[in-house]
Amino acid sequence: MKALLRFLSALVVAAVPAAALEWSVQGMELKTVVGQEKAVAVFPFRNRSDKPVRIISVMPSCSCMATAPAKEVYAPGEAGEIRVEIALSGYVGRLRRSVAVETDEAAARFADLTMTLDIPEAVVLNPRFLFWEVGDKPEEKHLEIVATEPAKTSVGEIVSSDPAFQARLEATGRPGVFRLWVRPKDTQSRIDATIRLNVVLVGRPETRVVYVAVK
Amino acid sequence: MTLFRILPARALSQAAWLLLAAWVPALLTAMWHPRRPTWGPENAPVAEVTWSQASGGAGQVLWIDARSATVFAGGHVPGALSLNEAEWEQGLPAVVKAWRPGVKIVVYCDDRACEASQSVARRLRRELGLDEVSVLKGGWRAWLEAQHSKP
Repeated sequence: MKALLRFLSALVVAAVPAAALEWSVQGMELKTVVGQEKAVAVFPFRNRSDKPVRIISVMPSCSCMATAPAKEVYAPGEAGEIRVEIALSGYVGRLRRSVAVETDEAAARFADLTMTLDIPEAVVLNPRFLFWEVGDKPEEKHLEIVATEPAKTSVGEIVSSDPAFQARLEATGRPGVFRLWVRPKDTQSRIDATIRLNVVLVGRPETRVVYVAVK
Repeated sequence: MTLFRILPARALSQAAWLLLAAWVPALLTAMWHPRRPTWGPENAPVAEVTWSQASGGAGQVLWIDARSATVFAGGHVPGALSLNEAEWEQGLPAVVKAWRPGVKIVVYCDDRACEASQSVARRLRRELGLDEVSVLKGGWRAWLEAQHSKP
């Protein structure tokens, strides 16, 4: 049994050629904070072979990333790094992004560099869409507004784009947690509107949009 | 006849050790690997549907293209709306306006390898509170193949 395991291990090691570019790390977790607009990941490597290695391309998995090698050709023993900048604007939650690095090395042509990001949402609207079906009773419905960091966030006025929907804000007593109550004047015909919620995040005024509709 | 009579105790013991040896690195990977799966309901994968399931079922379908606006402009499923995370706030109003109760939302991106459709589908479910959101298995590539294979 032991001999068989040793033989299989040796076979696997022999079958996989060592890559010329040795990466310190190929995957990383990036933590971000509320209001952060950009994240940066740096992947250091070293050419461990006795031949120069050329980086042919660096392909990010999404247009939200900018990356390029500092230079194209790395001499034997030379170290380098791939720096990736990820735009965070518009993104929330847990994201996975990757960059494929292509080299002229026949044994290991591609290396995948992966980044996992947790992007906190400063103000969570749960949900951000309320609807009534045509003919429904025009009852008041609500959604919850949660400021992830109450100390850095203040919730201001609310503005309905259409007087057909009346909205009011209610404090829950819990820090950073509010309820937005909305009532349509009637539900006889289809109508779409928005309710704008003005918030101040880390001293910066922003607007969050809630969608309301009679469908 | 019990299992112990069929297999010698030594073989069972070795099998148990092998299972244990596999379980330890699997557990460590699940806990610390940077690409480990996350198990929270918010990050749970959205169900996939095939092109024939999506288009053949009862009820209307609202197609959502999760690729970039440039790629969308180059070709998309007829009637699809463009909604990607980079331009989320710009794309969302049209989706909300187009959706009706009973309409199923199916999100797609390039192919099986792309993750944008899952991200967009999860976010639609979370933000709009809609349940009937799924992802097209194989994405735009599968849709193209389905069109080519039509008689």
